[in-house]
Amino acid sequence: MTSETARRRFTHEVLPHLDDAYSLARWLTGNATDAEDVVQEACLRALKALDGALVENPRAWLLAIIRNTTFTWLAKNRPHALVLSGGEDEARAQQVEDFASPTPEEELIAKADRESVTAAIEALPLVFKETLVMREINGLSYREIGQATGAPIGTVMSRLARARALLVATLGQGS
Amino acid sequence: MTDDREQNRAADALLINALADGELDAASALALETRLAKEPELARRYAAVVALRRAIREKIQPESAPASLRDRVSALAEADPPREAAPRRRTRAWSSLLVPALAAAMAVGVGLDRLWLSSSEPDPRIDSLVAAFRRGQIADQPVDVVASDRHVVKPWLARKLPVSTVVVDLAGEGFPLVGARIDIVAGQPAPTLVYRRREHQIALTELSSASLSSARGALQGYSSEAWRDGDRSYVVVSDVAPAELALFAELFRKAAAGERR
Repeated sequence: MTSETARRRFTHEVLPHLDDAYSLARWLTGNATDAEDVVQEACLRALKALDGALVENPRAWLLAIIRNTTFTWLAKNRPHALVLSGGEDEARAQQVEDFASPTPEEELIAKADRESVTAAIEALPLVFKETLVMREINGLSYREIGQATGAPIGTVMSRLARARALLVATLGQGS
Repeated sequence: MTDDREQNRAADALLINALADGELDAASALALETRLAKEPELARRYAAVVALRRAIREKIQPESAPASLRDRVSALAEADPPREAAPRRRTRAWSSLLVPALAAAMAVGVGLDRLWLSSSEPDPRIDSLVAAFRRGQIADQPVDVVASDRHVVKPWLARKLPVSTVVVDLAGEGFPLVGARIDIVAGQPAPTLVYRRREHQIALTELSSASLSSARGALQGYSSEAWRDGDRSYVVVSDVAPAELALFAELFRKAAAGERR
């Protein structure tokens, strides 16, 4: 049972960010049907939480709920996809950056088509993917990404740098 | 030695990314730009990040939530309405609105026949348009097509929608056109024109059904006004003062009537 206040706040604080919520869920789950289920579940959680919660930044708050709902969903449905620690991945990202390509990556990246950009993002380890999507697709600031992921700003910055290093390595090496 | 080099390299990576994201303060940005001019290797890494950002922006289209999902989620907010509590609250809200609304109407010479206050539940479609207006305010770009010329906006809408939309030029009256977008109202696409009044936006949406009641209201600090015109309904939502919104609505109705003749 939710109060009228919660429902009104839901209409004005949650619904305007539905596209952002869906985009994030779409990227994190990797498919449209799962994304819809996650968004609906997350919106139910948001509605229940709105009765008492003091929400400073509704968009970052909603995306945090989407993220947590996605992880619960992945743990239940695709446990092998859920690697949150990222230690190994971060080491790999570091190595990959050291490959010096003879051609400037810049030109190769500019020539990449939509399919290869999408595939490269989808192939990112989850912690890097969520940080990159929040920044580039949802347009969140570093501080907002920190709020949404519960990570300190230094961690947000290094994850983003490493996500991009991986993408530059993939898209900038040519084929 | 190697460790130092790697650490510096990692620290530089954070800096060039932060510069590309506009997250560096002016002093740090200046220092980094000076280094970029002198260090080709660093400049090359920075250029790659900038190119990557541009590639993502140009090639990955932002996705909208499917209309069916939007409807299902919107329905969550409408479930189990509290029947007893609502009327008392509404009476108080409307009566406190009546005096300023009357004053506003008289101030701009709006006929009192327009001032018909709805006694029914606020229409959920108006609620969703207020939400769309807020989304437009948050976005960098409140419209899908930017144009102050109605001869650009009207054909753009005609290409997107099966109905012809009335677009009028009110720049002479102090309401320049910003552009247009398509909003989804009750699962149906609806054309929304965005006008500007100083720093404020006014969003005007045309609905193809005549089922919307004439009403004037205030939701969450936003003013709205709805009216019918033949088989169409119009809803305006804005953060301007109610009196200015009433003036806009009156000007639009006059200009739209002239357009159709």
